[in-house]
Amino acid sequence: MPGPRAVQTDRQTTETGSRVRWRLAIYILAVFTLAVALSQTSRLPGPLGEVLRANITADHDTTALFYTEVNGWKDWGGR
Amino acid sequence: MDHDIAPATSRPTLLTSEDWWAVWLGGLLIAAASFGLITAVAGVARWTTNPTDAFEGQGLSLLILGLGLALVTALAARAMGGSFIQHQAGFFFLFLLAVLSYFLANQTGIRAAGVGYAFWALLIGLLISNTSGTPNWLKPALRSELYIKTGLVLLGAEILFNRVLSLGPAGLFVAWLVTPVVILFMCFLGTRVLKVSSPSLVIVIAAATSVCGVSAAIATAAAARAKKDELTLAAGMTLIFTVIMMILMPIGIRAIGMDPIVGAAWIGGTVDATGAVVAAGAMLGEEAGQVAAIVKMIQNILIGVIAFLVAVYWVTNIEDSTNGKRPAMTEIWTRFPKFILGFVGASLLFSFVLAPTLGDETVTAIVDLTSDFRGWLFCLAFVSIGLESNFRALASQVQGGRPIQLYLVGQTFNVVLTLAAAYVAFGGILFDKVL
Repeated sequence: MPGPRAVQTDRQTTETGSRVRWRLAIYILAVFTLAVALSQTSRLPGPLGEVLRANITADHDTTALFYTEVNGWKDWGGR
Repeated sequence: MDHDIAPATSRPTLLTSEDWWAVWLGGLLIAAASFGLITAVAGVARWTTNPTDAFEGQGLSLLILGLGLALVTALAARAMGGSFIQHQAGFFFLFLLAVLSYFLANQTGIRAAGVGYAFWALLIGLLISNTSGTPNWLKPALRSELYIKTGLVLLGAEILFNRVLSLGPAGLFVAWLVTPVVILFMCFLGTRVLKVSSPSLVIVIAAATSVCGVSAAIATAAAARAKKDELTLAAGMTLIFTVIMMILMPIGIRAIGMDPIVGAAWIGGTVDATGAVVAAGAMLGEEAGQVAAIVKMIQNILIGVIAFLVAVYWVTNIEDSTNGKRPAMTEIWTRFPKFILGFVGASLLFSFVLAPTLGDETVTAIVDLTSDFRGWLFCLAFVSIGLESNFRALASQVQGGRPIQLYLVGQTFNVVLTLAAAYVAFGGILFDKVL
């Protein structure tokens, strides 16, 4: 039969596991909510939404980190 | 990054050091693309409402890509003393998280808002490490430095110096005059005024602000051996402010009636990420979009020079273990991050050997492939960094808000100086006005 200390440790482990699962669920929900909210930003009224709608219409990849990721970089001419 | 500097007596060999493996792997991928052994790299497609659109016709290609990257990185891991099997096991899950990051970044609305894979990769990694904790079986695959350095060797192939001279003096004036001044200003501000404790954090933030955002942060972080948390902080700040500036700058320029060409040059010199620059510039018109893109492209190319100079400066001045004496050449060579040689070598090879002999068209086709590989490697690196970080360590980097102050003051200085340079170069004062 397990002693009181062993029972306490088991309970702590269960509580910790439960807390971790809750925290994980909340974080996943937060990331999902953020993704959904960002996907809808082009619906915003005013100039803010206008910029984002223009990006969608022109198919701009605004996430490109380097010029070689941007469509048409080969054709950029001299200035 | 985050590793201790090797003592003078240890001489990593060509087959056991991470830096050299980055050169070998980068060279292998460049050779495979150049000799036509690889003709396409799998990717996650853009999708709007149906998530399966992201993977249409790409499932098998992504699997092959994952297997291929797992194999070559596991070989490197084995040579560096790790386990081939354990690396493979962890790598597949890591690759899945990278696919998830690209999947989120490629949703049409999210893509238009400028929230890219680097953001999602960091967030997903941090989510796991700060909730359930990073599982032990995944840890052997978390080789963020190897992925970053290999990605940087590939990035070298994209730094085409031969194209710079054809881009015209006005763009060169704005991009190459302002950038070094802003870097020096921010280094002075960070180390002397704000007294940020880590010089590597200062240079990473300075490069991200003045050159080209996340890609510059990655390159200088690797060159200065910055900590992973420092790169995370700098990348996080630049990602957030890029979105804000991409939206607000064209609105502001149009509202005050500024010459769109001058405004575009201003955007090109100040907005951190290249994709955001092109989108914001296009809001001012087609011609303006081209000007913004070219100024940014010239800045992009500058990162090769800056990363090299930072690496040299760090091994000769910052990592000083010789009691104030200038280290000997052998000591400098021992400490020098060797992947920089691959980075610079790839740039010189593509700019001055392959471009003249194979032609621009062939070179750009090769670069398109290496650029895709580089994207995957950076994405894997950011997931790994997220998985190795925790919020407490990140909070310690904030140092009472000083790095954020450094970014804000530096970016303000950058905005003002670039505006002046844009007026002088594109406003018809120093050069003929662009119509």
